[in-house]
Amino acid sequence: MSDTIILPGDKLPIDEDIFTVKTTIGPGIYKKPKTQELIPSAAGTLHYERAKSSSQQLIYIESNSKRYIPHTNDYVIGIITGAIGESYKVSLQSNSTPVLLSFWAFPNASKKNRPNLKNGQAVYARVSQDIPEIETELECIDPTSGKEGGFGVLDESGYIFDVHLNFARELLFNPKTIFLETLATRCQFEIAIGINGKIWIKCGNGVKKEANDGSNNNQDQGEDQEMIDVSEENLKDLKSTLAAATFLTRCQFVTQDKLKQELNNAFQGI
Amino acid sequence: MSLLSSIGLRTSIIDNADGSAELSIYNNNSNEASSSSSSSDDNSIIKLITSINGPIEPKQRQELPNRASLEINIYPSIGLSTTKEKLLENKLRSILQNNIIINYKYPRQLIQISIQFLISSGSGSSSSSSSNYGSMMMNLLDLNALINCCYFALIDANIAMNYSFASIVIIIDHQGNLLIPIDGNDLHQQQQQEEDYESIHLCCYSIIAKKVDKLLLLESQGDFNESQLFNVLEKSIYKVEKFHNEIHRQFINDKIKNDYIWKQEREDE
Repeated sequence: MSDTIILPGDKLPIDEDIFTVKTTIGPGIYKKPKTQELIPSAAGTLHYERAKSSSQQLIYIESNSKRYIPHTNDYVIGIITGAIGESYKVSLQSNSTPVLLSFWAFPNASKKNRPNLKNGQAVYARVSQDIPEIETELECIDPTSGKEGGFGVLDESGYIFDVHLNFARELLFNPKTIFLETLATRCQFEIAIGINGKIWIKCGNGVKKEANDGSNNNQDQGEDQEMIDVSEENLKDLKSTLAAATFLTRCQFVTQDKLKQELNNAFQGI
Repeated sequence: MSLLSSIGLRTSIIDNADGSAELSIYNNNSNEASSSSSSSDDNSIIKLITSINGPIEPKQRQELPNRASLEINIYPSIGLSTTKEKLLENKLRSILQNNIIINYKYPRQLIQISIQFLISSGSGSSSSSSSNYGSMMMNLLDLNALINCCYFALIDANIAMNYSFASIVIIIDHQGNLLIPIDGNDLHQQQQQEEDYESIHLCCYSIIAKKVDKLLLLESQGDFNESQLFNVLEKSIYKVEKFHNEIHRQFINDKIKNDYIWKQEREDE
């Protein structure tokens, strides 16, 4: 395995005989249809893996970007923007081509038992089909168990914010990522990370609206105190959720020795 | 960040764009610039910002069934877009549309490129714009900066490209000497002596394996003969390869360091 920086037009340092050596190409590598030649199509860090005794090789280019292109088995966060026939229209990123989420792409779904999603709701889903010439399709089913597996509608009391795609990959695929562990030392949170650069996060009860708004006119002192306590708790959860989002956004632009400092800045006053 | 003494480059400067780049071309001789009224505050001769969004959802009239469509908008530093900007757009499109961008990777999608000139060459000098030679040189210098800035913005947006590309401008004076602006020569001085130039040439090349591969665009204006043209091409190849191996490499090294700064334990500098 070697890491080198590569630009479009450079020559790939691989075994050229791609018909004898089984070659798997990943993002950033393009196979020319006419000449069957492999070329780098993106600028970034080249990753090349080839076992000594094996006749296989893997090659891809890792780079940062902001525009998400759907690929099969990616976990994404989408926003429902409409319904077309028997599918919901889902937006993965502003201005991008919308993708489809079928009514049957939920566990135990049938014609009579269909999901009831409204415009603006957020879903955590898996890309099930990514043919470039037709519309991408999502699923909210775990492919192995056939059950929810964590997919489905995301709570409305969470907060969704955007990050760069390479940072989203780090948060989702690195189980020991320092950023979430540092955040966990400060507050408890639920998080959903989409490879399309969107993150949904919720601390405690999140940014829920006031549940007892004016509904209780009882003059009893105990209940008034209880309402005040609930309100303060909600406010603390709201501040924690926004602070966690601010911290994760700032993590993209600082080195790791400044994480504590950024954490204290984000949670200042909470 | 200044890569060389005569070029300034910044990327990812626009948050709402998928890729963006700001390119500045400076006077080398700061003493002479400070004494001239046509000099701008930051000592730039040409300065522009390019932003790229894509691949995004196209309008129906822009959709192509199996290729990405390209939308180019160019805005001048003074006034509104005119036929000059349309000409620049057509030349840029001829380079990007079917050569550089791998269109078949993004079928039925749109790639949107917007270019805003902050300082155009000659915009600070009203006398030079009235000259016929001056307007020819200004156009080609703007086109040269625009092509190079698009390269950096495309890399920043992570659009799939077949190869790298770079462009360069070469001027032939009355004595037959070849002069290259922004490469050791004082462009500001040349602007004041533009009547001395016989012709100006812009060459844009594709670069494969660190070597110049194909000539993507050749734009010449003025009086010249065949041997002079071949001299221009021969000299420009060396300069373009040097530009690619120095500035493009430096740019991608800095970009990767910035993009993955969160992987580093502490600052290197």
